[in-house]
Formats: sequence, C-alpha cells, structure tokens
Amino acid sequence: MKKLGIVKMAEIGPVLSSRDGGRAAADKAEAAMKPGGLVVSFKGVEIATPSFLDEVFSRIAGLLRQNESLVIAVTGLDDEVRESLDLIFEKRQLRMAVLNNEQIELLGGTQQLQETLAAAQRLGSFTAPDLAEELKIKLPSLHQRLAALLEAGAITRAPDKSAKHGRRHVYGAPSPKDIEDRRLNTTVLA
Amino acid sequence: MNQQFVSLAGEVVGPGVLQQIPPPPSGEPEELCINATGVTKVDSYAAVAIQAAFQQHVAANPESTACLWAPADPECQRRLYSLLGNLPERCTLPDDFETPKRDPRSIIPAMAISNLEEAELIGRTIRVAGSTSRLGNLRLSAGQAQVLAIGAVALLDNALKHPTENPCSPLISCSIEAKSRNVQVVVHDLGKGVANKKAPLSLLRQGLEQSKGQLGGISSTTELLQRRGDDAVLVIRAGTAQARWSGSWETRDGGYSPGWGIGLTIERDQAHKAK
Repeated sequence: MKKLGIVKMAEIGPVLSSRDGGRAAADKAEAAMKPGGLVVSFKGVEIATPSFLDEVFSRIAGLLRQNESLVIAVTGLDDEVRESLDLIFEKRQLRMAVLNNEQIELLGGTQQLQETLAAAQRLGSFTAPDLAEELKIKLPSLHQRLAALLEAGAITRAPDKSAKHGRRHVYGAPSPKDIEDRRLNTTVLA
Repeated sequence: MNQQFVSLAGEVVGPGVLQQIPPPPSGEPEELCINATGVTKVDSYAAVAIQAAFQQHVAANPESTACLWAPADPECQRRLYSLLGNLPERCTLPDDFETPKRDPRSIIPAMAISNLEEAELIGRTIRVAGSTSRLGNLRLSAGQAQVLAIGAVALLDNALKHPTENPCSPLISCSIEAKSRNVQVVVHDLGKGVANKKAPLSLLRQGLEQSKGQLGGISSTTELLQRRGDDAVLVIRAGTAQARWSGSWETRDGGYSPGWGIGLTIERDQAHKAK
C-alpha cells in the first residue's frame, strides 16, 4: 500500500471552530496528503463545530473526486465529535472511512455499502469480478457501490496492467492495521 | 454628574428581559443606577442584560459610572451575584453588599468575549463544568454539555464575526435553573446590523435561511439538538424581530430589544433523563 500522510487535528487545538479555522485546517490536510492518501486524526479533540468540519471535509471530498488512488480515513473520533461529523456528512451527502474499535466503518454510508467495504477489506487487493463473487452479487450491481466507495476514499482504483483485453482496474482497500499503524507511529500533541 | 435610573422588579427572566436594556447613553458623564431590590427571580437573560447595560454605559464616556442595587431577597441576590460575574470597571455593588458564595449552577457568569480563543475556552468550560459531579442531579449528560459547548462557540463566533457598530464585546452566560433543571446559554451583542435596520424581521428571516443553506452556527446547533432528541428552545431577539425554534421556526414582530440576542434552553423539567 502507498504511503499515507496524517493530519493531527489536536495540534490545531482541543476546540476546532469557525469556517476560517476549518479552511486553515483544510490547507494543512491538503499539505499533509501523501501519494496514498491521508489519515485525519481527531485524537485529543474535545469540541468540533459543524462549520469547521464542513470546511475540512468538503475540501477533502473535492480532492477525492479528482484522484481515484487516494485513501482517506478518519481516526480518534469520540462520540460527541462524531455526532457533529455525522451531521455534516448527512447534509453534504459525504461518505468517508472511519477507524472505530479497530474496524473500518463507512461514515455516511448505507448498510449495503458498509458490507461491500467489509468484503473489499477481506480481499485487500481485488478486481470487480473478485468482489462480486465475494458478495455473491452480479457485476452490474456492484459498479455503483464501487463508485461510491471510491468517492468516499475508502478504496482505491488503478489500471490493471496485467489485463490483456479492454480497460480493467485493480482495486485496493486499506486494512484497519494500515491506518492504525500509521496512527501509532505518530505522537498526537494535545 | 447626571443620573439615569433603571428599575427592575419581580421575575426578571426570559428573552423579554433584553427589552429592558436602556438606550445608548448621551456620551456625557453619567451614573447609571440599576435598582433590582424588588427582583425575585433572575436567569442568564437577566445577567446578560444587566452586563450589557453596564458595558454600554461605561464605554460611552471614560468618566461614567454604574451601580447595581442588589435584590432584597437573599436567594435571588446570591443567584444574581453568581450569574453576573465580574462587573466592568467603574461598575459597583453597594458598599455594604456582603459577597455571597458562588453558585456552581452558574456555569459561565455573564462575561464579555473579545476573540475566538476566549470563545473556545468558554466551550471547554461548559463541557467540563456542566457535567461536574458537584452539580449533583443538576449535572448535564456528556451529550447535553457537548451540544451546549458547540452552540456557545458557534454563536459567539457569529457574534464576533458580525460586530456591526457594536460598542462592546459580545456577552455570554450559561446557567442551570435549580427547580426546572433547565439549562440556558444566552449570547448577546449590541451590534446594530439587524436591530436598527428598516426591516429587521425580513433580515432575520434571510439570516435564518442563509444559516440553513451554509450550515451556519444557528442551523447546525438546532440540527444537533434535533438529532439528539433534546427538548430545546432557541430564541432570537434583534430590534423588533423575534424568532423562536422548537423543532421548527416561528418568526414575528414584537417589542424592541437592542442588538442581537440569542438564547438556547434545553428543557429538562418534563423528562428527568440524561440523554
């Protein structure tokens, strides 16, 4: 898996507020982005206003739409900050992978997408037919789900160089360990 | 020095209290006396209104002074003292006033906030002080303390961002009412951006629409309250414009309140439950 960057929100402060603050944090997140993507850590954050989060995640969602090879994961959320994030994701119709209790969940996603992501994680690296078989569904039903997960930054896609005919892709899904390791290797300043 | 008297009596509670903030002073040195001896009940709205009156008065002239005649009722006196916090310079209580013990139900005594860092500190204080065990059965749940903290920071951020012709910094107070267990956050500023315009109600409605579209401080606070299922009321007073949210918005014209006042109350009297 390609290298992930990390942005530690607690370095900004225990309280994250205002749209201006959100824009500055979005700049930091963008600067911290590595070729593989980004882990956004909320460990140590006590309060996050919806306006702040709106600025950060709207920017990240924009970046994801331009690049299918990026993974974005949110870590270190407590229930209260998660409530604010839930609100933003629902209003802006965003989805993103969240590491919670060593499991990757899809914040803002349906149960069906959650199951698709879980199956993708079991496979790690896969093609669309592999995943369709894992989920026991037909390939055309899978494409919309894959598109949604790509847009959420929960999986990545790259051209399959081994394909002999047509245009095929190989997909990748980060495991909880990929994200957890990244978090453990860093110190969050609270 | 000229004297200006304001008399308050009975139950001085709720958003209507903001209407009692006196008009701006002339600019000449004056003494403002707020006579609250007949007051029997106060809340965060009362504390913010008295602080606003004092701040506006002493800001108008460096020689102006102000004094408060405290309620005669001892319980109300103690409550008002705790809710008011520190008075601005040149504002005093009577010389014979015996300082009562601070009341922990006054989570944030009425105070002026001059920047976002201070607003964020207020948010942290509400989050921690609101759920302290010292409050016993008046203690807020973690979720209630969090939504009030977010609301306080977001509403102060709004007030700091729109300081139209505001002679003073925005004020905040947060408190719990013992009998009902209701918890209140009131933010007020004397900005004239809506209050003194030609059609304040129309401007207020536009502001609410804008907040909804952009997920602003007001809208995100009501959304969070709704999602949590709290029984809550949010009230806005700006000039003659009034708005009230309790699941949905109602707006109307009413009595004039100077500036922009916004109060959030989580009503815990009916359901004695910690969500």
